[in-house]
Amino acid sequence: MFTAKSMLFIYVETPLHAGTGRGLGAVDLPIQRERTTGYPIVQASGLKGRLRAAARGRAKDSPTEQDQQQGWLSTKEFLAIFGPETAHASDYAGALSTGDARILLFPVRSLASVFAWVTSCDALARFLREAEMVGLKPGWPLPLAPGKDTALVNGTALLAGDSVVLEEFSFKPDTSQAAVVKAIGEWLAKNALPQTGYDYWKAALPTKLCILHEEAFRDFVLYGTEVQTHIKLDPDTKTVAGKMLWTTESLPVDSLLYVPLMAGPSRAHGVDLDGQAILQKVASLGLTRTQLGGDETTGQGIVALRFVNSNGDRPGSAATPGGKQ
Amino acid sequence: MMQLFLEPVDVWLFRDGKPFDAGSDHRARSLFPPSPHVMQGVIRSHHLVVKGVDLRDRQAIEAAVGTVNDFRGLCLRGPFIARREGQNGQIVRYFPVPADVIPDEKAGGYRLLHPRLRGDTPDVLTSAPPELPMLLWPLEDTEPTKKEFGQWMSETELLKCLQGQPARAIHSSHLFVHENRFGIGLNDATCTTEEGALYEVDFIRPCKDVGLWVQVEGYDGWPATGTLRIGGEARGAHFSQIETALAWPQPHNRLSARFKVYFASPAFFKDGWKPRSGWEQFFDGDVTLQAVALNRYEVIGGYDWAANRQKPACRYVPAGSVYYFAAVGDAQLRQDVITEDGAEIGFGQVILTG
Repeated sequence: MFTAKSMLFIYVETPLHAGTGRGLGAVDLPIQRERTTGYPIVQASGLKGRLRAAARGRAKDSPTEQDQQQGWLSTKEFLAIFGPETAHASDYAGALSTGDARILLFPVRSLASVFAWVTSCDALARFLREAEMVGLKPGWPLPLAPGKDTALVNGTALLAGDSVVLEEFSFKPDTSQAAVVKAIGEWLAKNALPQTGYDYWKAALPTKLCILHEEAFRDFVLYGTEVQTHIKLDPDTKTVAGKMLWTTESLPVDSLLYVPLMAGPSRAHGVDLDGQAILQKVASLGLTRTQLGGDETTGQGIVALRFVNSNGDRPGSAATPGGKQ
Repeated sequence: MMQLFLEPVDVWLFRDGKPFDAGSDHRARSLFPPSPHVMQGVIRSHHLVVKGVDLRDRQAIEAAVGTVNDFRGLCLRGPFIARREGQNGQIVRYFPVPADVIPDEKAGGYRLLHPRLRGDTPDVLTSAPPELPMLLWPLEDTEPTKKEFGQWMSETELLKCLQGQPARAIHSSHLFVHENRFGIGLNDATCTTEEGALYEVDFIRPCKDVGLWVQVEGYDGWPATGTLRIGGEARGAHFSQIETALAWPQPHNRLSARFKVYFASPAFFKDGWKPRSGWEQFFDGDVTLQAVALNRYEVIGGYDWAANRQKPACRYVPAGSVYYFAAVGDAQLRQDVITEDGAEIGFGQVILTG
């Protein structure tokens, strides 16, 4: 019973490890992935938990009018939006529903221009479907899918000689759909990248964008993630403690993910908020940055957030920045 | 009447009836497709939104959609797994493989078991109740292989199978996969893990173009497309009204002397696998049960949000079960559902073949 929807974009600023809790592959601590595609995700439960934690810090029993203008919630509103505490979970359902965060742009090392943002028609089509659901109108068409060894690019920024070389793989550049690639890059730069401090990246995105065949994209998001090796030192001997060597996988810096946010009317008595007001309250928390995933104390998982509603504006921009920074 | 095709926004969670609190009960499993109980809740909840009913006003809710056991004019069929297929994206329903078949690789598919009178069969020990005069046996030229769990048939293949023709099934992994997710409980104040709060939840991720088909009668005013809330964790589903409605396989007006009933959705009987007040309540004419191919019972419960309590968990005859009947003279099915509870919301949906 969703009556309002919007989109949350997540831009990864430090490596993001949203872990699965177990791993059977080469990496000890892999990241969360979709079961069918292998694409990286951040599961909704972790994301909503972080939003809830941030909102809790912006909730008080009796906020003044000025507080509310600054994005503060009443405790009742907080519970109506995110649901009651676990002990009272069956009292009523929370009004906000977050989907999984899904990958849209993935940075890959490039021989030219240092790195490229890669995506695929498959990833773009999924995004377009969710964008349509939330009422966004990107205004660019889905490009025709490139061949397996072809990369759709806009211009020559990613060309090393006559090839696009990503990691150790070479692709034939195809500029026949350059206008579409440019339109996608410009729309994402304008609507999805963080609002402030990203002017350079917004200008670079249309030229660094590279649309690959879906299998090539899948291979990069499967095998092109960041893998960090960790050890634990014995404080007395300053040598590695027994068996304390492990690897951790992370989504690399400059990945872009998106999350559909859906809301229905409040079910909590005494809180009269419809779905649109619920999303407005969440966006107005002023949450422009937060931390997701593990290793918070070592600076991992810092992400920039951008809420975009169906009108294409940013409801959070009007609020005074606050919450967890 | 409208027919809906529901597709996931990402994953779905339809918990079974086992307790789960993310602590001592740390594992939640999913059922797929969800039970009609779940679907009626989804449809009725969304109808409240379509009609603009205040979700906190119990009287308005009851006026609009009824109560937990009073569904007013609502009549559901489904939910069934369905997939968009072909160039025109036609919706194809999928059903569990009937319980009265065995795989025979030599024959190139599934083959029916055949009912034989008890006296005609070799001496066997069986738990089949003595009131059933027939037992189900493979044909002599069948070379049975071990049944594989989680097999589904398209509607076309199912109808062929029920009529005794070789039919093919596909594994559930072609339709949906289970996605196990670990979770931890975090203490917001300390940013540390809650003691004992490590849990695992089994989500369902339908494959590309796979979703749920459901037919809704009694409600109107819905948009052609939209998004609704479904299952655990308030996950989302895109719905779209199907323009070319799918018909339900109808039996002949008069049933043949021997016919069988395939349960496409779970059915509830007060005496477990059979109705307490006899089969006469479902058929006009003289009908007697001959044999049964029954899968393991399915426990279905649920949560009553209106009363804020658990619904009683009951055992249901699972989808895929097949009942064999004999009819004397003219006999016909009185209604196209066979169940002693939940007929309005989709339990006991049956397909009859002669």
